[in-house]
Amino acid sequence: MANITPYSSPHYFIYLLLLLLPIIIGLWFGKRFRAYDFFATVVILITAFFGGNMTQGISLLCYVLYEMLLVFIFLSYRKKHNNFWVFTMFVLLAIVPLVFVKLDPLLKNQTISLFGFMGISYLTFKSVEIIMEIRDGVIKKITPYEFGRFLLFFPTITSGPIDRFKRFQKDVDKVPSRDEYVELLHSGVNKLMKGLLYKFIIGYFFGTLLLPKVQILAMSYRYQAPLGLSWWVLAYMYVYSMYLFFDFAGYSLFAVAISNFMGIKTPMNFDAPFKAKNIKDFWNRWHKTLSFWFRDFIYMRLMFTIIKHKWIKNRVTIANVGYVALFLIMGFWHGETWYYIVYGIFHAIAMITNDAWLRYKKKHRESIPSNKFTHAFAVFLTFNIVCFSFLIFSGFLNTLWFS
Amino acid sequence: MKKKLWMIFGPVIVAIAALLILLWAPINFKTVTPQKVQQAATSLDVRVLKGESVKNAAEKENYIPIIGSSELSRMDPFHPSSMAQKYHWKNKPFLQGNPGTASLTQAMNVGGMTNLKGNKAVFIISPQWFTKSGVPSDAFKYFLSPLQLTGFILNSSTGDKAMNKYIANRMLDLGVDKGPIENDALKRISEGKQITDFQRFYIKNFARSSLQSQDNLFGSISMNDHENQINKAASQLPDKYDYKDLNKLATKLAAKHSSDNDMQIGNSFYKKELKKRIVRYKNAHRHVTYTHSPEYNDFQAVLYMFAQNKTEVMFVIQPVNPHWVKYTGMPMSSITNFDTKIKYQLKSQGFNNIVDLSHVKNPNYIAEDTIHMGWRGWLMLDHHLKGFYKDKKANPKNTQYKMDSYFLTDTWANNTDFSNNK
Repeated sequence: MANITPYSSPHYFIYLLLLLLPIIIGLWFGKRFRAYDFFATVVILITAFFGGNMTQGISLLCYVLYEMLLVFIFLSYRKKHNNFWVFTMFVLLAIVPLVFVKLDPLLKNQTISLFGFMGISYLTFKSVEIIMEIRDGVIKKITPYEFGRFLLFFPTITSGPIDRFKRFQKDVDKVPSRDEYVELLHSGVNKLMKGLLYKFIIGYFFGTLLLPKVQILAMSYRYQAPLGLSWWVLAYMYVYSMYLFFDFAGYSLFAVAISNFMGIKTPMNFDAPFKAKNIKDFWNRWHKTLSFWFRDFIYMRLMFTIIKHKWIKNRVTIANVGYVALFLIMGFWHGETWYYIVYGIFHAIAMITNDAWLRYKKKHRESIPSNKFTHAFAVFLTFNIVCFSFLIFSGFLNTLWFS
Repeated sequence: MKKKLWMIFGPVIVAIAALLILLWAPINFKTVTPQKVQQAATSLDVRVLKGESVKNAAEKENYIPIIGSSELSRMDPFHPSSMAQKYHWKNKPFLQGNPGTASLTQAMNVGGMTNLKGNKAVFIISPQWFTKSGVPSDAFKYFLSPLQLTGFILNSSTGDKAMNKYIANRMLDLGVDKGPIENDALKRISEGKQITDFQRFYIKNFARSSLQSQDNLFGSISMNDHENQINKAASQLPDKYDYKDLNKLATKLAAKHSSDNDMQIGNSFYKKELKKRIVRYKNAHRHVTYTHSPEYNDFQAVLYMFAQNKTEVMFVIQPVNPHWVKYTGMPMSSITNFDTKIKYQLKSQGFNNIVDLSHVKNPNYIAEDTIHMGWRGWLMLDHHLKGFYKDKKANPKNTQYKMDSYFLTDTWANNTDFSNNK
């Protein structure tokens, strides 16, 4: 039997809800059955990772043990010492498996990625968060059981949203009251239904029905104009953007809905991103748990370090360096191809330009109009800039130009 | 609390109930109207090919299917659909085939047309299907209809055993995967066993009945529409049917539409597909042969399906643009040998109505572009179709087929010295 990707088909939900039923009934009566939670997690992990030749499952287990080892060594070290370089080394060790997985496609003989399994990025984000917060002193104690439960929480295991340890712990350690739980069920059902609409109807329409047709048309006109550009490339840009949003937002809604059924308030990932009025606003609405993770654990820390060591004086320059670093890392994280890197650089430039514009606007407040129409224009412009960045991200330009 | 729970789960329960009714209740949603059938006849929509309800409705009206592949979309004025409209043929063509459909897809398609029984059909064979590796797995899987698959599985207890075994085996080899129960059933058929009672029960009452409802509900809404294209094509034809005049017109129009190259390839096709890359094809086909191919076995499966339905079939061997053959350096013997082999397979089993357009006296403008018939090619075919389309019913004298399972074997697929070696 092959691996079953969570939430990939409507049938999956029938089995998943049957598996969840005892948990739901338990929570209804104010009980958490720890043993059953463990059993359900094992069932999901087996279906998702141990199908076929089991390589993914074994990788997952090795990976979790490895990260667990790092976290607990660091925890005991931190109780007595707090050296910056030791901390840096632990963070680097924690991301080594992910780096190998990401470098793999670059190599001809794919051998170095011992830890190739679906969702490794998201588990790495969680592990790094724990190490960083141990250093900050925010996390003072954590048991192996708690660590495993947080890392392997199955509704979010393959693609997020990325929860935070302390927040997760607060939910999982208590049982919601009857009224709270009814509210959670309500929210869960709504999100599940909305997710089904997003992923299996709208996402299917754009991704499975429309996208291949538009791609064929765009490819068929590639010899007719410089750079292979045609109106169909533009159509591809919008269709792909819609597909990307509805597919991923649908998936994220499932993850939050299933979490809610289990009494966990996993944070939302999307907040009407196409209503954003500028690019900064967009990143506060798109794949939020990822951008907040990058903000808190990369951007802010880099800012802080630069200021503390007085490497750069100018505040604007500091922010801009931060943007470039942040989005380059995000680009490399997506994969080692030119279009992911360009996507990162593009967003860094967009953020820098946006900041510059906001400063200019602040200075000339009285001479720049601000009304319904300028707002509508801002939303329109942001939407198109974002869609263009997704065209880069899609890799279609690579196919168009180099295949 | 009860009310609160009902407000949360009530809508979901109602929605699930509605879905169950829509998919499984024994209600026949009549959405196929004569207008829909007319549109479907030239629509070439994949859903028409993969569905059953529209085609079976068409079989009850005055349509005779033309089964083929990409050539069907070459809708110039001499396309059979255009001719049939202009000259008021008693029966109209119903087009079934897309770029990428080959014998096995059409075997499943024909198998699903239960109302074809005792009627006529036209089948256009492309030599290019008969490559060494046969139909690409992706193309077959794309056109495989889950509905027709369930039909095939359920009928496997009655049809010819050798054919059922062959098709099931071939589908598994091509990587068909439409659910665990369907896969197991295919496996049993491929081993020559009957499917189990449970498999029959599940596939008949759950899988197939839902797929049928879906076909009825969604099989013919917002289909591709080529009716305007056909109307426009037909309007270019003279009112009076005269073969000689039409032949002149076809030559004239084709010359006009292929003015930017000297290979009689349509301008738009040339500009889009060839202009910048044409040198790549120079002498590229010097070693192409069409005589060793698993496609011969797939083609035999189609013949079985026709024989099972007692369908009277006119087979058409599609021409290739002779200028293109010359440019790509393909030896003429490739086509000749293919011709001999395929005709042997047809005639030795009693399929005697063959229109061979691969060897005609004057092949000028016989193709629309490189390998797809058009212009004079269509006109020559129309000349044969005109008589064939006078009557929709098969003549029982012409459907006395003598099927031979030898044509399902590897030996046949790779045989070139066949006439006396059996």
